[in-house]
Amino acid sequence: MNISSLLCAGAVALVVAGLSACSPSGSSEEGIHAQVVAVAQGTTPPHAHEHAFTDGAATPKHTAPSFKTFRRGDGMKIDLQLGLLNLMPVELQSCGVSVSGLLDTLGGLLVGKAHAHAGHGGEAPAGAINVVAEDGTEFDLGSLLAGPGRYCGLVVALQPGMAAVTPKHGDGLDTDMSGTSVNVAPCYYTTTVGMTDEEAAAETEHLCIQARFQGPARTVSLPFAPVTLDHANRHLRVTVTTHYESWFDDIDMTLLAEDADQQRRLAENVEASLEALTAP
Amino acid sequence: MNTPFVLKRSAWALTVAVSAAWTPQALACSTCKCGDYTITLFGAEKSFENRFRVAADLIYRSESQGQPGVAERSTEEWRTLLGVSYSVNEDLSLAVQVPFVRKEIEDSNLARQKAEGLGDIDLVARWTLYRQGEASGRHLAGLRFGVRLPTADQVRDGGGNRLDIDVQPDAGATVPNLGGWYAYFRFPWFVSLSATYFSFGDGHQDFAPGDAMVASALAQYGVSQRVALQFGVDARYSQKNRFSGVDDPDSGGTLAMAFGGVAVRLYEDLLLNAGIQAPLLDELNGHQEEDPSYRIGVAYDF
Repeated sequence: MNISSLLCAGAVALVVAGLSACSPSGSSEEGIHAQVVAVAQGTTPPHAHEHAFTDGAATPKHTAPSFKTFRRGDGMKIDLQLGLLNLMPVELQSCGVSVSGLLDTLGGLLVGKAHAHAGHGGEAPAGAINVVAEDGTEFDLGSLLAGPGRYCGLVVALQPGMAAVTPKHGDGLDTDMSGTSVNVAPCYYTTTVGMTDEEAAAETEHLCIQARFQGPARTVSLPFAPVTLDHANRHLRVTVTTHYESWFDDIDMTLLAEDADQQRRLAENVEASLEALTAP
Repeated sequence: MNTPFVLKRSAWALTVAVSAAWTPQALACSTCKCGDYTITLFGAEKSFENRFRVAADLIYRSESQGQPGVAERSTEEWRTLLGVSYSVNEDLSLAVQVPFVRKEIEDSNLARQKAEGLGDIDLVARWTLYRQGEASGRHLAGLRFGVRLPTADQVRDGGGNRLDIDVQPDAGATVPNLGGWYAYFRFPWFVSLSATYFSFGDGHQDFAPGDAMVASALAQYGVSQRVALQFGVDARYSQKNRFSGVDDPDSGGTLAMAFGGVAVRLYEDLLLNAGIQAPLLDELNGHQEEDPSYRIGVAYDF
């Protein structure tokens, strides 16, 4: 073996040794993102009742095993048996200039992600916010990614459910949210307007309906106190609260089940009931 | 008695040629985020029987893809190429080249990923089919063919989670490739033209790089026996990449880059080279921004 051959062998050995010394390694670092959750907030706890289940667009009997009782703005007593929202976070809003956020990189999967974690109330189909669940129950709406900046709001969309979900079967209420943004089933007591709380609580004459808003998606901007997101502050938690007790204000309950204008007003009330709060 | 001198001088000319003619192609391919590059150890030089060469190159490049400020992803890449080549005879040379890659990506939301590991290994052959001119030929032409092997590591982070395909050392795809080349030798000038088609198979993570055509035109001027200046243009057209069967709108297209560099012979058979490549024509699809690339390399002939 001559010198050249030795050098060749040495060079090859050097290359092989160099390669074997380089084992793969990697690391990842989380970026700026906002986790968005939704909660329902009222002033009264849910009730259990003893009425038998019945079907029908307008019936004097409750259908769901539990409901939330409250009084709307004019004093009318409402037993809310079903209150489902299909709510999706769209973007964080920069202070001053709008639009500086984006959906999760996988876009459409965000909905799936949110849906996969929602529905803690037990009665709601996956993906919907169930306001009849215990107040304070959190529904995960997924995460939004955002660049560094100062943010002052969250844009959310009240939008029709994209995928058909399995409706509840049997004698219960229809919880299918496909094509539906808001799905409610209130029982209302028309004679309780002007009554005291004690008098209203004693009132039993009521009608129950189910109504849906199935119009196009609606977006709303929810302001919050300015927050700066940067290298040092990468995580933001945004809680969207819906105050469901104002949902039926100024709505003609006798028309709600069938009338599109009343249903649109319901959607507007739902939008108006939303607020956003932030935490690191 | 003159023969050894002639051989050594040829080796020098060939060595300079190798850096000049082929390395820029590698940079021209850099628009592929998974390191679609082509570097061989051959160059367009005149091979001679039993030539054995060892070479190492370090290439730095960066690019960004996606809508700026919203969904932009920036990539920085350091690619180390180690290789050996052997000339079976003056017409046929074989080479293997092993890449080690370090990548960092940063998204608009400051999320970062880093990975380093073995890339896809290239096996390449260069065959001279045509010679015309005195001695070993002034005009040479032939074929280049090879295959890239799916040897790239699938790198994971400290938590065991597999990192994004964009930061992986390479695509992990099998890539047969075929091309033609022409070279003109007349000291102090050397001119090379080449074109190669890369047919990409599916890579890791359901990623399918788009097929690519790379063409290169390069000239070299020997200032002296020890220093040569290089300049040229490299172009690349590639189809869009596909993720899970869906086209990536921010991939593929046409890119042409200007190249300038220098090669310096330090000892009889040791060559250092360095060069810069900058975008000349950018017709890339969607949001893609290619930055200048930098290269430094060393080659030694035994």
